[in-house]
Amino acid sequence: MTRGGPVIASAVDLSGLASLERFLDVLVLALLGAMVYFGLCRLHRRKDAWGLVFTSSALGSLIMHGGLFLGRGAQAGRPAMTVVPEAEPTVETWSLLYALGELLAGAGILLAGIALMYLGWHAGRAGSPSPRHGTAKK
Amino acid sequence: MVEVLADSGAGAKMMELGAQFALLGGWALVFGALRLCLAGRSRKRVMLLVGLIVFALGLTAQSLGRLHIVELNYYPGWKTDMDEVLGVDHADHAYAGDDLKAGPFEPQEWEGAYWWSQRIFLLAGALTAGAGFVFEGSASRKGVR
Repeated sequence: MTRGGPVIASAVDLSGLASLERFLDVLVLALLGAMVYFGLCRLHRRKDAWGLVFTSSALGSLIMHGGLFLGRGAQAGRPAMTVVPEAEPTVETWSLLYALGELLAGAGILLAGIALMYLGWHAGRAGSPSPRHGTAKK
Repeated sequence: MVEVLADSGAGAKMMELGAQFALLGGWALVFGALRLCLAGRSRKRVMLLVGLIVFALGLTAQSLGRLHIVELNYYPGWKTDMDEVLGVDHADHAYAGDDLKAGPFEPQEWEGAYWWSQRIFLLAGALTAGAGFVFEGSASRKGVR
């Protein structure tokens, strides 16, 4: 193997890895978009509180994930030796904002999950015959 | 950015909490889809449920890593990085004391499988569950179960 061989192989592997991670991020964004679409379709047919909670929390999580994705892209694209002006927020501020975004995105998914559980429960109640109508009259 | 967060206590705690919320949310979505399936089974709902289960499994594996419950030494390209020693092309020198990049432990066999299956589960789950949500949304808009 030539001297430059392992370095090039490593670079190829890592660029592929970065692309895969970015693709997975895009897929999660697509899933959240599909959840928003599902919620909007449901609201279009019947407006209920849990449908609204599901749609808004999925939308919130989508916005947060989108922001984090763009933030990671901007961070990766920024030259390492750029001198940061004093007026700009520090790395610690940005990282704290990033952590807050992660927290809100996670909370959005959790809220959407709870809302979907209630939507399923309501669908079950609406689908099943009520005990009063289900019993045969003598 | 993540390295900076590891140093700041509040940031690390928030990221940890976010990962825990996302993990719980993934499984809550599974239970919601299960409840929808039990309310009235259709092909779209089964697709949604299967996709969300696969996605939640991938998300669980990812979250265990983010919460430092599972530590992985594996990543694609670890082998070439281990073999690469500055100025020396021989793999036997990879564990030289002055080479800080080469650790004493190679990844276990299961770590590679864990790394890849986590990503495959996330990929397949997100695609299937996304399609399930879109089909179920279209059906509910038209009033078809």
